[in-house]
Amino acid sequence: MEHLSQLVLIAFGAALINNFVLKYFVGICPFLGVSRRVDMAFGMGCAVTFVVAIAATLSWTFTYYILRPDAPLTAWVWQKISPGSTAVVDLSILNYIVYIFVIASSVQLVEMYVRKFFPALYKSFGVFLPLITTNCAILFACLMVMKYISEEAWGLDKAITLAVFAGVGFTIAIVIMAGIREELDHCDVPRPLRGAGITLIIAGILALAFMGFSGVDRSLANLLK
Amino acid sequence: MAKDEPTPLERFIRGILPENPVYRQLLGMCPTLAVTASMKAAMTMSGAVLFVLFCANVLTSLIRHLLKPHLRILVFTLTIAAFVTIADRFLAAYMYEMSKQLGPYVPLIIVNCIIICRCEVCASKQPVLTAATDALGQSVGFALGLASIASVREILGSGEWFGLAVMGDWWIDWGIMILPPGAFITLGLLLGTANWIGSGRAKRGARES
Amino acid sequence: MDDTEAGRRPDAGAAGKVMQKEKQKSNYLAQGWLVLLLAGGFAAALAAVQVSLSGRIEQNKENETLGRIGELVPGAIAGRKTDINGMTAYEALDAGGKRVGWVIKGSGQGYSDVIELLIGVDAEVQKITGLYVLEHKETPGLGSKIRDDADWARQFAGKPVAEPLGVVKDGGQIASIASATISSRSVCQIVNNAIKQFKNAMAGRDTEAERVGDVVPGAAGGRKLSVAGMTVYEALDESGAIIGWAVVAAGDGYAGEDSIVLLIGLDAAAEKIAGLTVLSHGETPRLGDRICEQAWLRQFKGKDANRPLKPTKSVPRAGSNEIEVISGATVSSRSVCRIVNEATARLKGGFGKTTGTAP
Repeated sequence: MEHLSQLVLIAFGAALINNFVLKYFVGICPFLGVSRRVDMAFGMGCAVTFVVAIAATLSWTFTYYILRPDAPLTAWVWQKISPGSTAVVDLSILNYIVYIFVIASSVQLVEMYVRKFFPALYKSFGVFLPLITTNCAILFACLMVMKYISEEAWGLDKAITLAVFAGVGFTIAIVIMAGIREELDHCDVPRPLRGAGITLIIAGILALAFMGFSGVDRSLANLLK
Repeated sequence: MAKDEPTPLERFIRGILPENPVYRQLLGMCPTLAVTASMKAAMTMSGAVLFVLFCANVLTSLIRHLLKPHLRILVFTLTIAAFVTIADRFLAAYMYEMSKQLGPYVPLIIVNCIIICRCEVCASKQPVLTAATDALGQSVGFALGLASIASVREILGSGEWFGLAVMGDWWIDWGIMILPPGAFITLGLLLGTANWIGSGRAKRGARES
Repeated sequence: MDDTEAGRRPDAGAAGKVMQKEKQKSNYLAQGWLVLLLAGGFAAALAAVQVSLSGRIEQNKENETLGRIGELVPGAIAGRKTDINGMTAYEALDAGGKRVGWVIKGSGQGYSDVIELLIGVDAEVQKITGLYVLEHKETPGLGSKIRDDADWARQFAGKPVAEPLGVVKDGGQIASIASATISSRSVCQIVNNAIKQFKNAMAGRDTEAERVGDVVPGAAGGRKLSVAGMTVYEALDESGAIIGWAVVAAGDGYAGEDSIVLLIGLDAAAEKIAGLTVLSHGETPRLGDRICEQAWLRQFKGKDANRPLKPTKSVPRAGSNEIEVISGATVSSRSVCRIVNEATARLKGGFGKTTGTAP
């Protein structure tokens, strides 16, 4: 029960309280670019959730078993190479390179999957799908997982929960924005602010609204105890 | 074709205002919003981006003849990730406080569209000197963009600039400027201002010609 | 420039296609080599960076805490990281290398996110000596005052550890920050939890054996014996040679029966007192607990263990076995002297009777 409540807290935290877009400023490019229509926004959100789940799983596995100081696989290999050595092998300098390649591969994987099974969706996405590679949100999720592995020894379950619900939070933010922007088409926005300007201002107001979630996890934690 | 290409010096100047990565190209939004709560953090981030962009551009330009379409992006990504790791470690070693403040945003330079974009558009096709000046120009433009936002946020949000008190005691800090909503709204308004200035100049130019 | 153009020249049909395919294959091969070369080059560069910088980075992380020790524990100029029963703590050392306090880390949920603190406590774990907020994500201008307002953290200094701390609203003694009650309350909770954890860790370890080094200078460890019904430790230096003795002695103090437990250090010949420390006591805070003060305990060093100590109200005469009592804590001071006298007498008696144990 205690473990489940921890997962619930992580999920809430990633989706609402520490929303990736509105609090950590990651994933802004697609947030500004793809949020014109609700159906496109929702599709993008789902794609990002899918990719971030795969990427987080892979990066957790790599980090836990190979990259962190004194990781099991690396230590085993090192023992074979120089038995009896007490040196701790730390491959964490390769973290960022491994993560970005994992992300690129995940995007490729999802792209192939979508092209095969949802060709219409693939057509409507156009160039946006490969662009998810440069979506900060996914790398950011991998970095958070890396941080929590080293600080709190997170297992795969917590990492996946964080990743999936971060994607859910991203989807929520982008869909809300798309809904607002669809209405904005009928408004008279001052010329200099049209496009990115007004979108950012609205994002600011959304961020203000989401700030209302601060401290909810604390009360949740007390409730779940 | 060589005649129409801008000279290295022109590229440098272009990167600062006309093709400013933040205001004109709308690239690299993530660090723009995240680290501009204080001038010090913004300038440190600009320095890191300068280092990575310069090295990546130069290296890419040196091997540009060997790059074929298929593995291009792979090579860019590898190069940028390696240089970002180096920059991140250097910051952690020599500017620990700043490194902690910037946190995960330094590794996020890897996916910063500015750098991949410049490598793709410029460095992979131009000789080393051009690529280098392009990198410098874009970095200066980026720094300028960050500085403008950071100044507004820091002065209004904590009454300081670069950590030195600028507003007197009478100033009540606009806490919202330090928080995420302030970042979004400031960038939005400044973008609008930049567009307005730009369009005003274009109108005047059209009228005069 | 673009040498795939060569492959696209109109060659005779099939032969041209085969040549194109081969050119493409060699292209791939060349690119593969390029990527491998680049990867190898970068790996070497990164390895070099790791080797040269990782030490510095580790040092930076440590300095975060070590650099603060001076302001957290008065009189401390250096810190040493130790492990107490699985809990990391930092000993605060003065110029002479003596432990004058501890610094522990505490963390917990604040209003917005996790708050990380450094808490300084005195050597006897009786009082908080300082508080510093390492990291927080509280609301700027409100909760952030736990760090920005130096005076707020300063009120934690001097607070006794015996009872848990709380904000005034909850009946405690800590004044909370205006409009940031939750942040203030969280800090109190984090401090309470950290100290409780620390006290448990300290109690869990073999308190006495490790403190032999406190009372016998140069001792690296202790070997437990029983002499004349008392717990005695042979104080051993790094090579394992006996350089002194440490005796655990309990006696009645102001607070009641056996309320004071001391660890008395003697030199190898058990002729002189090498040091004294209070393991635990129940004396009155701010009065009787001053028997823990290093300045007072230092008097015992070098005193003759063959003669009883004489508590006196005036300044002790040089070369005598007199101990100046603490004004306002006469009973506690006298109790300490009495306990030491009884213990050294018993010890010497025990040594005299037992064969095989020096001296």
